[in-house]
Amino acid sequence: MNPNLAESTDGAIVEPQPEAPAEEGRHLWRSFFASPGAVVGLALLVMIVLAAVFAPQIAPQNPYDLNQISIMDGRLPPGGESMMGTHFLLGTDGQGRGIFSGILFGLRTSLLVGVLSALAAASIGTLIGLFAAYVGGRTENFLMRLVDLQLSFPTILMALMMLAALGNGVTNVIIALIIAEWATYARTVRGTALVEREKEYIEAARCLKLPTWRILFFHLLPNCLAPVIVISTMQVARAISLEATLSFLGLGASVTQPSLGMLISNGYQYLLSGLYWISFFPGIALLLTIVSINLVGDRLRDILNPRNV
Amino acid sequence: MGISITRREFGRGSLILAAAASMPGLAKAKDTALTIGVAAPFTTLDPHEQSNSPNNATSRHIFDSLINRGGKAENNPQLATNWNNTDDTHWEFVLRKNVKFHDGSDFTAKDVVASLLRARDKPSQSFASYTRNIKQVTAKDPHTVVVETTVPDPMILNSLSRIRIISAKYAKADVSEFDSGKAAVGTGPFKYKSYMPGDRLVVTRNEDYFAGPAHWSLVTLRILPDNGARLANLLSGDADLIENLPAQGIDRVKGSSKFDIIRGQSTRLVFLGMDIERDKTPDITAKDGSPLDKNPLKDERVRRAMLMSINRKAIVDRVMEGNGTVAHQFVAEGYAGHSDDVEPVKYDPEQAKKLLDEAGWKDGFRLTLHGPSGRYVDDSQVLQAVGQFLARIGIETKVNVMPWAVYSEKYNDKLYGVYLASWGINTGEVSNPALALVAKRDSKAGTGRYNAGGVDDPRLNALIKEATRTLDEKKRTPLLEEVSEITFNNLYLLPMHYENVVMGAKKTIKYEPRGDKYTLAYEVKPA
Repeated sequence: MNPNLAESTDGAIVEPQPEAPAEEGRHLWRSFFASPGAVVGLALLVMIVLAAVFAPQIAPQNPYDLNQISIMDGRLPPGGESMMGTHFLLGTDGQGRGIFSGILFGLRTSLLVGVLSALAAASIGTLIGLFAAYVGGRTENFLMRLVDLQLSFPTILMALMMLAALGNGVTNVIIALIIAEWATYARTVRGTALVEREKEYIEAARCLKLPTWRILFFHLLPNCLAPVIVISTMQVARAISLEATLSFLGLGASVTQPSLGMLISNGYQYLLSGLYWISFFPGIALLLTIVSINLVGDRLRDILNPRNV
Repeated sequence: MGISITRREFGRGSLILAAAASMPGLAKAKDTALTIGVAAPFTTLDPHEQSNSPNNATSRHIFDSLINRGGKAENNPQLATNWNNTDDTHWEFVLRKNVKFHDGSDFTAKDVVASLLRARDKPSQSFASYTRNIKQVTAKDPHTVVVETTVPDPMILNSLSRIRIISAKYAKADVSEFDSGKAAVGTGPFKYKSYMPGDRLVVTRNEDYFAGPAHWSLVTLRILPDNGARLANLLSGDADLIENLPAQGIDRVKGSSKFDIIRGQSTRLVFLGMDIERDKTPDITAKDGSPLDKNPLKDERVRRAMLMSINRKAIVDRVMEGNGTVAHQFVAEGYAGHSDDVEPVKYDPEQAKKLLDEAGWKDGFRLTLHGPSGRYVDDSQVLQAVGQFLARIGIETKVNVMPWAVYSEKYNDKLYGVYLASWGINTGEVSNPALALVAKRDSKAGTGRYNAGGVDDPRLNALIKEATRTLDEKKRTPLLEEVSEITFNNLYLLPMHYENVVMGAKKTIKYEPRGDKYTLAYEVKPA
């Protein structure tokens, strides 16, 4: 007898419980902290997120407010003194934005874009993948060919095409990234769901004539989540670097509200004339962000990989 | 590596050539390659499709015109050897004999007729400023063409210098046939070799060019709108000459033993255009984002306050690092139509605030500045700096820049309230910018093609109309001066600066920058 099919005290057959990872939670944390790299990554990530969230409180200047910056302070080296007598810790760019403040505010944009687009793409992709696997037949074929089609374009090209159609702006970048990324999730989830679909607990749920949505969301979905979580963390980092690339190409956020990518692009023109700080520090910030997310994601992948359990 | 070795050989070749030049009979054209880093992308090889400086400069490599416009705006013979006006509206051009197209066919009057009419009748109407007065073009004999104008047109020679002569057999060819090279057959100094839109045009020397073959056997025009990339191309040796040496590269080039900075004066005026026509204009709202019941830009005091708030000297010196000169009107002193009665607007933020207050905008408003990126010198940086200055007198400003290819299609359709634009005043006199920028827009008459702000001043229209019909310079100039006065004392446009031509080149190359900023490989000489 299927162990998932238990009788309740009043004799009615209750819904089968999928193999819920109940005490796996604690186990997960323990094995996560076993890796020093992941711990460092997580600590760094927490710091970065906090810095971004509290940027308006931490930053000495609001680099997005044209009233607070002046071209007279342009291109000051790290520690340089402004017209008003204040000092810029990491120097300024051509418009007189403090690089330090710029990085803090830029991180907000980058993280916002990364997290939102990864979450939305994960939700959409997962839904489509689940549905395709469960329904099968022509629908599945159609959806998966759509995924193939999408995956055959390089992500950056997809994003560029979308932005050309939609125009600049943070919202549009997020939309473009969602459209460019959902297919990866759909493909992965479908793969996992195909395997899970054949297991007895799903069969049992079907025998009970549970509605499709219920089987999909309460039975199939929880068991397909592990790979989604792993891809998501990686995808956040990917989305951040994609946003940086798009901004670097001049298709991202507004020029007066630079994200990390745009700060780098503003400064890289000056690299050849020795004004290294305009690109260098935002570049380091971007690097640290992506590395920390990847460290965490890597560890999660190791833990959640079923072959390791 | 292969390329650089060849390049060195080319260098050696030119040394030998220089040494051989003194020996008669030996001086024959050798293999020499030239790569030019072009700053603003040209969009097509069809010379009659879209009139803008990059396109018109590029088309001069492959095609010729009747008149050769010199670097200092003088009219020289090119495919026409001489000309005279038989009456006020008829011009007779005697064509150069024994000129052949790149495909070997003979150049005759029918090619001229086909080209001028094609430019005039193209649906894009981009050359309308130059062709609008052409009534009829007829071939009197195979080597004489008569151009009849609708009105006496003092600028006809200048206009004809813009229109490239194509082979009559490609008069019906479309843009793609020119871009693929099939129809890109001219009489010019270079022949089409390959073209990748947005990337590069490669041309080879026309050995039979009527004015003598070019020094360069292979010329590559590389499109490098990105400042850093263009500079890197020069420094790495890939490009021999780059346009718009970016401000941040000047120090690098100045201190180098391999490169030179080439500077020159340009007649390109950069200005802020604004919607002074409609009662409701896009992108201007109250500070809380609610719509305004009127358009503040219609008030001359608001426009004056805006210009007054902008420290143009600081922008030119700090942001552009000296690559521009503050402008107060269409043309600088010394050019026809410059008026001493145009009142220069000085930087004075306090007075600007008072003016805004007086105009009833004490609390300011919110606007979006639109502009291209990578088209004009430091355009996006200049726009942001303007935004800073406007913000300081209470006009909350957002800056929206887009790639030139997108922007160029949109700004002229009156989609923006305030926009950064520019006009290269290649004629070196005021009627040309006035006709395009501040004359009432009339597609039939071909006036006001780029009057995106909706300027419509009856006196101005009348003056421009009269000036463009007056053949006598002495009567014409005072009219043009008044055009400048009306335009800039009413601030129909806010003048920002003239761009300076700043190029970077290897020391092995000599080039005299042109006032129109065209970079012509034929005029590039070895040092």
